[in-house]
Amino acid sequence: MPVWHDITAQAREDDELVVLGVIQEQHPERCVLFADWKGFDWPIVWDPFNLTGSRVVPGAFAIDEYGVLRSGNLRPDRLGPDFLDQTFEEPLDVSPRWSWPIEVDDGPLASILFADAGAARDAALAGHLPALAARAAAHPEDGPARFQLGVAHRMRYDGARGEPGDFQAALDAWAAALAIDPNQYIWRRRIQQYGPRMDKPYPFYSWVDQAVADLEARDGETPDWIAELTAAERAEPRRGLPSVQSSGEAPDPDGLIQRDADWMALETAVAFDTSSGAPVARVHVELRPAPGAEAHWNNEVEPMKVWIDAPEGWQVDQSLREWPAVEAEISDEVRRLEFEVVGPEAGAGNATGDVAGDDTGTTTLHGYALFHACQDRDGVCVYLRKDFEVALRPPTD
Amino acid sequence: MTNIRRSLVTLLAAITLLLPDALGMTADDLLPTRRPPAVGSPFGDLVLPDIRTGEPVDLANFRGKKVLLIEFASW
Repeated sequence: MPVWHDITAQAREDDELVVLGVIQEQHPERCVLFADWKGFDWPIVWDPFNLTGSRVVPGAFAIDEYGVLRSGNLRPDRLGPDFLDQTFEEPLDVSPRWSWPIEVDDGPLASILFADAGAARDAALAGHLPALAARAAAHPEDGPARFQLGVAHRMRYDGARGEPGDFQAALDAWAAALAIDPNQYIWRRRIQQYGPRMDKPYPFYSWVDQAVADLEARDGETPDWIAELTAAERAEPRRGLPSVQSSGEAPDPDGLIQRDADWMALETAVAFDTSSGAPVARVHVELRPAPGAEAHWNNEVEPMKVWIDAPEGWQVDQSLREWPAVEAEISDEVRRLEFEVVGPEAGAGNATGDVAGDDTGTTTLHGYALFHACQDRDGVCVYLRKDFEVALRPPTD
Repeated sequence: MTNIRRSLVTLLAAITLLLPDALGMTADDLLPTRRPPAVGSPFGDLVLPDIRTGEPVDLANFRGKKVLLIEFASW
């Protein structure tokens, strides 16, 4: 959008034009960073539930002094220095894509949207998410209802009152919405944000590090940037299937390590490719000290490892991943690792024709994490293994 | 702030109910199918939170000025 910013600079300075940005991103703080980095000084509003019904970005609309739409298909490459006169005197050929008024009569969405970020929004989500789920269940062909349910699940996952399964529920709801309307690119991007590299139209948030560095250099202080990015959100697009590396040796092939019962909470989520129809997915594995368990990561010894056994006929880009060394002896951070998996129909090259999977088309991926942890209650530190399963079920058309 | 938001939500609900009449449509016209505004037609109302402050921004507050409304993403 810098091009819009530049084109409109003089008109804004002369008070001839107001620029108002609208974003549909899940996380508004990322766009705050982007806007500060690019010097956008105009207001930007947040529409995560896509109440505006936008189908694709970018787009621009010219609205005159009387609130009348004068153009709905503005493109910066068509605009010259006299674009204000051209745009507002004589409408261009247009094909508006938005619907108005926005559907703001939905109490739960408005309550969530206008709640203060943090505890108030967490409470709004906890209170209203069941209603959104009920609405989506009652109207299974309502794509917006399903998309909005997914947004709410992901919001709750990102907040302090996340429930187990929220991330996967978000991905499932978005996939259901997209199946209803495959041309809805706002919905598609939500899945791609967390999905495999071959499905990414661009690296979603790879610009963040440069933005932070530039703002530090410009302002002499680190921007207030607290949001955590997943690896998927930083990943570069890749044309073609994930490259499969040497899997190495399973760290506990015989299952000898003591199992963790409740010290650490583990959650997984799977985002499938949305574009090619290939059974390619990005598997998210997240571990954190379980609430109330009084457990912590013990970083004095070897780093945490996560191993994934590729189901028959499937391949994993890298079966063994390690969590980077942590300087503190004890810590409590959330640890997220991601894998990309390739199913047999994607031409992974090792399909036997008799692949694992049940009659619903679901294949189960097995894995485990190995880590050192300590617990306050008993004052003990041990080496533990936590097993997990991931259901791989490619979405059907 | 709570009262302001409550008023806002109420106002938004009222706008949604009333505006169809203003446009010669029924609520049923609006809800199942989202209709794009035609060029030359009122753009309608838009109230959403500012990404920096969380405060509601109302498009109606810009009446009397030309507005370029840009939808975009940081990615």
